[in-house]
Amino acid sequence: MKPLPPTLRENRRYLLLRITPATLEADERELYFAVSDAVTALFGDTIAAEVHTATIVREGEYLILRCRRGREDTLCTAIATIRSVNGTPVHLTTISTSGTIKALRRGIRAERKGNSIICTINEAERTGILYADEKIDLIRRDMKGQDVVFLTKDDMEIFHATTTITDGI
Amino acid sequence: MTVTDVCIHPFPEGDSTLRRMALTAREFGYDTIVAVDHVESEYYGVLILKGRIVREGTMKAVNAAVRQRDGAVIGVVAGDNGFNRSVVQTPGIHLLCGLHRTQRNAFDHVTAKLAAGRRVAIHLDFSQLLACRGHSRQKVLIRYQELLSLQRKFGFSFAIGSGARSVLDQRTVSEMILLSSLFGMTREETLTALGTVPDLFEESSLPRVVQ
Repeated sequence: MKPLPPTLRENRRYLLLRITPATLEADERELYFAVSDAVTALFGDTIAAEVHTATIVREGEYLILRCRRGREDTLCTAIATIRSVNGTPVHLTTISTSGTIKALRRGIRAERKGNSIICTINEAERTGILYADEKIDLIRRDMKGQDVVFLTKDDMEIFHATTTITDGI
Repeated sequence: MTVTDVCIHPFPEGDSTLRRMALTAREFGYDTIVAVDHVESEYYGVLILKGRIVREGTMKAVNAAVRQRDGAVIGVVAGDNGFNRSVVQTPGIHLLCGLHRTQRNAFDHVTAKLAAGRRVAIHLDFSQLLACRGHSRQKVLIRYQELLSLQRKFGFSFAIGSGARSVLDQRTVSEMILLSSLFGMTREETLTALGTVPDLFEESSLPRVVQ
């Protein structure tokens, strides 16, 4: 089949997003549904069709999305309203927009290395990740799902907490 | 120029500590945050102002909050029109909150003029835009549109806040601009609203030039 000439092709824009927390367990498909739902809920089906969103790839804490050129702001606004993916609280931050995926990849920083830790707060043990910028994301899995508590290394004193670095969660 | 997030609710009300929320606020482009029921402090170069929200809906509670005089940013949850007028005229009140939950006539042109004269800011809580869906979100957007048209006419201040209870609910300054565009606010208006807080502490009894 003859390919469509460039002049007839749809002009696209690519968006680079950062996923917080980086430990979110969701693939491209689940993230696509979250973004698509947000666009439809905020702007309706007509605008959602015009935006023509697609997820390209997830690379660690980064996600690359595609949309129709001229609709980047619409998509960014909808992304700002996303609060959860698969019932897990999340924040997707738009970092940059570009016409090519190659240019977008330049904005991807090396993966933030974190040490798995066990943190004891009020005699209750919680697993978590201590990042180099002194941020700590605690994870507790219980019957209700995943409860994450966010703190910094300076907060450990207030909580009378101790950390033990482990090999992995 | 000051860029303030009014208000946030750190641990124990939320799931993130004040320090962590301050660190996130710095990354997101803020230099000041108003933390409800937390002492005034500074972490990671971000000034934390003490915030107090009066939810009782009585003038007795409002006056009691003003009498404490501890330098807190005092916000009062709006009620009916009479209550809102009384609140706006009370010296020491900085914010009128929760107007999206009130009837349309709860904040009319008279209250708007009073708010402009007394330098009481109207709090726009963006967590309502994120948490609500469908009809509820439409109501919030309509209410904010009405408030914006009153603001453009009478010139009172807006104070924008994420209402975050977690670092995941905090939004960057550019996201705030995008979210405020949903009800017609321009980029300049949003940036002005984000820098409102220092003006609220200025003496309002002195005469000033209104353009």
